[in-house]
Amino acid sequence: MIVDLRRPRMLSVGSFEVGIVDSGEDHEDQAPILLLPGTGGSTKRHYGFVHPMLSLRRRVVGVDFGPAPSPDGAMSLDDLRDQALAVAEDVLPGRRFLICGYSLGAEVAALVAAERPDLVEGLVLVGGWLRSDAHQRLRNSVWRTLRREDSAALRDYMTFCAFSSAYLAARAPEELERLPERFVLGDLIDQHMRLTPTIDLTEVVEKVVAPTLVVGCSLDQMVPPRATKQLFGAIADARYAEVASGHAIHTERPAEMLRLVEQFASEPTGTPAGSILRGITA
Amino acid sequence: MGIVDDDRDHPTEVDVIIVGAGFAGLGMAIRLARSGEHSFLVLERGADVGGTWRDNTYPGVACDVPSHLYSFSFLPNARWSRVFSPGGEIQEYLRRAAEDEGILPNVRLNADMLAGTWDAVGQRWTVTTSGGVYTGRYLVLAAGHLADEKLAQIPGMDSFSGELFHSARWNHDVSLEGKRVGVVGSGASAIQIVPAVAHQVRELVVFQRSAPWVVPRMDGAYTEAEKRLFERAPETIQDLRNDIFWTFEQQYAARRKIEPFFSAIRKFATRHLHDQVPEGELRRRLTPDYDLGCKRMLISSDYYPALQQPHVTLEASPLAKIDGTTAVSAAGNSFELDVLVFATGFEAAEPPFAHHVTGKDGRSLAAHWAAGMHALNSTAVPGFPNMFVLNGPNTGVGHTSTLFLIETQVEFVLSAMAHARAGDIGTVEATSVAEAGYQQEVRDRSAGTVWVDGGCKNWYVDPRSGDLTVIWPDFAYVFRDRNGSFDPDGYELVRGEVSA
Ligand SMILES: Cc1cc2nc3c(=O)[nH]c(=O)nc-3n(C[C@H](O)[C@H](O)[C@H](O)COP(=O)(O)OP(=O)(O)OC[C@H]3O[C@@H](n4cnc5c(N)ncnc54)[C@H](O)[C@@H]3O)c2cc1C
Repeated sequence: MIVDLRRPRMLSVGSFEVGIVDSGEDHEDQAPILLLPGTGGSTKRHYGFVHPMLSLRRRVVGVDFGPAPSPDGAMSLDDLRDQALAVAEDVLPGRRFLICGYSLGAEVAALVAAERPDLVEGLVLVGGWLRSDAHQRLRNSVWRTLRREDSAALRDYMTFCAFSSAYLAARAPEELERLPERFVLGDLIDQHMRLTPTIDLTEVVEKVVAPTLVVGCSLDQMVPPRATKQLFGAIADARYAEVASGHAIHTERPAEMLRLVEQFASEPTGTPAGSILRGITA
Repeated sequence: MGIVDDDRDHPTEVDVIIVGAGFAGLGMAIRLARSGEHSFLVLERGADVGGTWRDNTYPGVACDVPSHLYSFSFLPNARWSRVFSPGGEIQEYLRRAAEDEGILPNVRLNADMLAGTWDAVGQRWTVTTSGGVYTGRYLVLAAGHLADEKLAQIPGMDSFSGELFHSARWNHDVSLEGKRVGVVGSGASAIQIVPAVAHQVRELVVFQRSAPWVVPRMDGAYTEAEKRLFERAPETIQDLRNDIFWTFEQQYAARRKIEPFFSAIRKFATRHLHDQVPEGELRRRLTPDYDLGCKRMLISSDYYPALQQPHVTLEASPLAKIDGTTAVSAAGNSFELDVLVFATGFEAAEPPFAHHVTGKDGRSLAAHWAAGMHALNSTAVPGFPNMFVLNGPNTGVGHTSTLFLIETQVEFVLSAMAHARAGDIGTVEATSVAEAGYQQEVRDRSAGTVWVDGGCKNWYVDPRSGDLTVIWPDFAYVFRDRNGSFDPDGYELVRGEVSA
């Protein structure tokens, strides 16, 4: 049996066009999951493995954030929150749901959870951070300089930042060559990259009451586990898991990411707040 | 201090009897010993420990899961010679493990279990072997599922005037030098044998029932520097294991026929075939007609090249009959042969040991499994108290190391025993209801996978029920999360005297 992925469609939210990828069977007793991708990404790119596998057992809705209509258009975290909530309202009216955000999507997810405790049953933050700090801003500024200069090094720089050294070192030459080509450069990522250095969730996440799973990537050079762990400290009902992966966990360790999301989704309060979850020792 | 066997009238009494000294039996024994339990015996019908790796000594034998994952997590080996180490090295590893962990005094070799019977009065298992009689509170069956070779009965087999043997019983007295050799089968063993013997034989014929899916084998020798690093910083071994494990886990998506993963692996294998075999008749014969994964996906970088040597023939038809020195395929082609190697696999779905084990209602395990193997947590069988089966029903994996599941079961058994000890429980028995529920769960998990829906006839599905009984049809991590430790729910626990 092949999963019936309902036809992806678009939704207008203010001046944004948002993509919706809705799949999996809905069960009354099981909260659906909303998936929010990261910087410049999409459901397919950031949940390419997790999304279809998750939807074998439950309803899963991917939100593909749209770019602001004008290339210089500023974008705020609130814009992204609005898009996520609009999709939820459209696809899952009146339903409570779990929300899983990756990278920038984690920032959005945390904001949604903080503001809409009535809707959010559980929160998963993968590769997220509490507030953009000097390290984050430095990387961001290098990226924007390379982008402005249309540098030939930009894609390599993104590859260098996204993947762990272990992952890169283990790739075959053909595979290595293809990695930099994966990044989509355009308005969406430009707008996201302007937004990220300004993020500060310090006060926002104090309002998060939903049970939360924070997932750090131990080999992440973009959002180091140090930054992700701050969310673990800041959110009252949080538990923490770490995966030996670079920021591109969706590519390096997607099955492990699936395990964490699925396990948490099946019982968000299965472990007490403050727990550090043990991974599989193969 | 070893256990001293008594005579036949006075069976040797221990807490735990383990049948089989392969990876599963030895793993169980080592973990028991390490947990402080020394009242156990390992009964092994063979003349050595090692199981699969004692029996399979054919040319080219090696594991097809990287050695650093295909070894015990609790006994890492910094010295594996290659990514895919040769069988002899794996056998050496197992023998050394048994020795170093001090369990050899607890192993009884040449002890073939002839009968294992539950004694309801004494609440013990009595195991009669060719070597002695033993009793234990617990019986752990670790007799393997690829332990008994399947030697298909071919008409005229007795008339064969050359040498004939199964790949798991390789006759090393027979030289293949300059001989005309037939290999029956094109599965995991054949694909290793063919390239390994092709250079020494005069003629080689491979009888293929169905073409296997093959992907490149990324082998390589570890350098001294790498081995020393593993030794000096053992955490690098665990990192590597985790890495291989999680990478392999992704393959489950393809086994579940999820796109784009399902097409991607098929494309990868097809490209390997096309890279190595030019367009034409041979490529056509080597193109599988079923979904990748329905039968074990094989890895080899030298099988296709070996088949293209002028003295090697791929007969795309099973061996149908033998007449003197002539082997005839179902397609009607005859070959004059001096040696016939049956690389025809094992009795996996109907394990012979099940005929020798009798539960509390006097029924054999084979009778209980008349419509196919099944067990709660893939380990415990209703009607068979205090008995656990390792590497039995729904524990095989096509995409990762079987040992990951075996180790999970070993820990399950240990935690069940600990639970019993803590609660003064005499017998632990799966309930039929829970077992049926688990069977249904496995059925649900298997739906839509290549094993049941892949357009091939494989040995994972029991022909009597149509159920998938050999394979665990989900991620390996799900097996661990589901079956990693004993949960009394679904078990009937009866208080009893806890002896010893
Ligand atoms: C050639 C080959 C290659 C393989 N490669 C891989 C690989 O790369 N990766 C992987 O995951 N798996 C592989 N496997 C599967 C392999 O069988 C398992 O990984 C593992 O070795 C099974 O261990 P076991 O202890 O369960 O069974 P076995 O190794 O079969 O051990 C069972 C033992 O029980 C004994 N026994 C049986 N019946 C009785 C009786 N009545 N009384 C007493 N003793 C008895 C047998 O003699 C045997 O020693 C391979 C199998 C084969 C045949």
